[in-house]
Amino acid sequence: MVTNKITPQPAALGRGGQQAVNPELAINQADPWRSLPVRVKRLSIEAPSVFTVELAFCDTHNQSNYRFAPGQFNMLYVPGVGEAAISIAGRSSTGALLHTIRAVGSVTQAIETAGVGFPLGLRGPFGTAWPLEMLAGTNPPGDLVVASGGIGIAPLRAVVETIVHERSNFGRVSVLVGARTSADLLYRHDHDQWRQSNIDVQLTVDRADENWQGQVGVVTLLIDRLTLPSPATTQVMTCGPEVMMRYVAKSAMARGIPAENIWVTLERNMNCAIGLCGHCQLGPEFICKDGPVFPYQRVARWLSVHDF
Amino acid sequence: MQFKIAKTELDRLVAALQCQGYTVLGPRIEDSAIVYAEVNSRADLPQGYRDSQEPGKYRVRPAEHDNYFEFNLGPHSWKQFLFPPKVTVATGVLSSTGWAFSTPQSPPPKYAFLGVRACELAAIAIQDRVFLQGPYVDPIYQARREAVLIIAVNCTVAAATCFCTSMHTGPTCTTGFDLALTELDDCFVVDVGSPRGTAILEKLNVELARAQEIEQAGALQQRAVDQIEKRLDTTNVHDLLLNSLDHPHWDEVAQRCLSCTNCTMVCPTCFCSSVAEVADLSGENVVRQRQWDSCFNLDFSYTAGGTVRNDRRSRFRQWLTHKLASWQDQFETSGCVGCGRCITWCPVGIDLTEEVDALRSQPSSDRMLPIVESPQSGPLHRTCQVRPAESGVSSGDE
Amino acid sequence: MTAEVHAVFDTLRQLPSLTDFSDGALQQLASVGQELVKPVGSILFSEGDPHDRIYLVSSGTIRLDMLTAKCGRQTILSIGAGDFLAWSALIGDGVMTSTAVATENVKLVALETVSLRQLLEQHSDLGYLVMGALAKSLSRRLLATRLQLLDMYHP
Repeated sequence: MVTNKITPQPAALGRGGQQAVNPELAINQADPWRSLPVRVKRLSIEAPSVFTVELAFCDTHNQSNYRFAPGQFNMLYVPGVGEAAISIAGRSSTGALLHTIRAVGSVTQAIETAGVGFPLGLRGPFGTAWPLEMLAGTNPPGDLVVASGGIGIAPLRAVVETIVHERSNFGRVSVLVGARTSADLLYRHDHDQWRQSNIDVQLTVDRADENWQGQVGVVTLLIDRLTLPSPATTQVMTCGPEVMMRYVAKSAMARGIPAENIWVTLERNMNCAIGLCGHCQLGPEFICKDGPVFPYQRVARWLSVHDF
Repeated sequence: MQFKIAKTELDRLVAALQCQGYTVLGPRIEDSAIVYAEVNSRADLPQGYRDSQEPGKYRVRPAEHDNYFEFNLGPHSWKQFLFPPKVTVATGVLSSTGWAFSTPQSPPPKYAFLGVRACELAAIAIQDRVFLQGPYVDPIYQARREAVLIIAVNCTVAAATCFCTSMHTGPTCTTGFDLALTELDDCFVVDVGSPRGTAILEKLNVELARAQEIEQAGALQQRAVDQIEKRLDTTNVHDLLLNSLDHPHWDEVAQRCLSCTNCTMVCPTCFCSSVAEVADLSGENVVRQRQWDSCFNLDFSYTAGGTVRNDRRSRFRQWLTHKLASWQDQFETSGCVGCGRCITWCPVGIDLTEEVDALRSQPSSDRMLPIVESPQSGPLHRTCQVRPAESGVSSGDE
Repeated sequence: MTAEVHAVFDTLRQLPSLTDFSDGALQQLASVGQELVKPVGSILFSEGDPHDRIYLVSSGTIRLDMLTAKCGRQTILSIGAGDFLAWSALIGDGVMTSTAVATENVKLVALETVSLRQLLEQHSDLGYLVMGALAKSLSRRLLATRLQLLDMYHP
């Protein structure tokens, strides 16, 4: 029998009880292709070719309705140029959405040259979130290690922002930030506030210049040295080059942190953001809807295959 | 209960559908191939023709029969009408208050498909799963799919590239149609699949099919089964492929594959797409156009950090492992229906059933780096590179 | 155990790189160790100089510099809690391949290499443990160096 009315089924993708899109995280737009108008409120340079853009919705109804969870991303749209998937780095004090972007393609370069007031489109939020509930939901609250490389701190900034606002819900928190040079370290103006919230912030660079008195080396070494009183209940959230994340996971496991406590966020070409265009596949996963945040164990196998 | 209609009733069927507002789409001969396009009467159908297919080869020729549907599949699939090759997904207009964005609200075209084969019904069911039954629904596919009426046809012959029996999708239609026809010499035996099918049938001169005709229809369907020689051994194919990602055979296929995307364009289930921006000269009116894309295109996997699948080896591997393995993880079904189009329309005749056999017959532990060939050895030879094991440093062959 | 050996033992027990060691093994190691505190800015050894001690860092960070023609002193790595330092003194030719500068106040356990080598030769099971821990520490450092190279040279 042909069913004339095709009813969308709730998500139940068959990967052995693993997560589907959480309805609370799904976009609240009837048509996933429809962008909402936003404007640039502020644009600040973070590092060479890296900038943070603050976006506010043109419509106050959209502004007050918009919700996201740390780890999710938006599709930022420059009409006539195209869309780019950009993780949400948090909110400004005025409630504008922060996106930290490296200008590498036509869309991101168009945003970089946009002035205050420049009109753009936004679809989102999309994708999975960092599992903050695994930390805040336990008694005592769990410990967290955040490990980032380069612009990988951007999707984790919203995590740290949440911890700063709800500090008592979390245990020990270490934020390990790696970058090529000190000029590539992002959000340095935020670090004092993070440290005031009893967050252990450690910075390290690959290459020290005359302006740098801090640590030299990659974040895996910082994990080797961390004080970890209760590794079994410590979660690790990491974002950076895939090779870095693989060895962050390895270093964390060598310190007694269970593999299932390790979370990564992945990047692939994204076009539709809703799992329908095929671009972002990594084996069985669609990075846009099954990710971008994944339990490391779920994707570890694919990350070690060249060109996959 | 099975019915029969005279062959001349096809004209009345088309007219009845048109009367209900349907555009009737069916097989026609265009540019020496049987394609799917608008038909207005049975005169438009490829009566008396037969296709012959083999890897890399397709021919349509007159045959010694007067039947309307005694052929198999051409390069077209019904995908183009439900998931159009080019469609507007959104528009934007700039005014002094900023951008106003909208998505198409016009009613979808109302299509009646005439001559849908069993493997194609399976392909439509797979695309239903992709576009309608995940966490996000594609509104364009949904609107078109809900409007469509399907008149299927049971195959009574098979092409050399057909392997629907291996994929358990045919050749006989069992579900997913409004009406299904089996063409005998002098009439069609009709199965009804839905109340809509019944309503259409009521507009025609219909009789109950006689036992002899039903028997004959069954025999013709069995003839198609008997003619199918190609096999795809699907035993444990999911694990076989995903455990063979470093298999040396991928390098061998890459030397033949042209990365031309034909297999993905003719595939009735491939759903990859990209959105293109189309703006007028003022830049104040933009249209977002979704177009079919292919995992064989180099920029398909482009990211800010570089292109993920840089060579034909990795792109062919992506296509085959997705089609036959990871598709199962994603959609609880194979992505292949056994229609054989990718075999016929591959310009170098790559046959996925043979590639799976090759992966199966050699142990996957013999991974070797590809042999470095001289760049002078000709355009079809791969100027090979030694891949760094884990650096992710790209070294494309394009 | 003297009070001093006990203090060294307690320090070693805290180190993540020595969690595999039994108390007995750590006591043996502590017997040739000496706790040191160095204020920020101290130079622990210099590139090209012979050195006769190997260290385990218990807290604080130390930078390793190498001299380059163009950039002068270039910091190549930071060393921190749990890391071995000056390993060339034990398994190399005793000549330092970098200059170590305390970038914070640091606490270390110094092991004099002549007596450490004697101890490890006499107790080959302890020698196996110490060399294993040293090899693991160096392999972590090598991995980090590879990642550093990839990050610096990957486009």
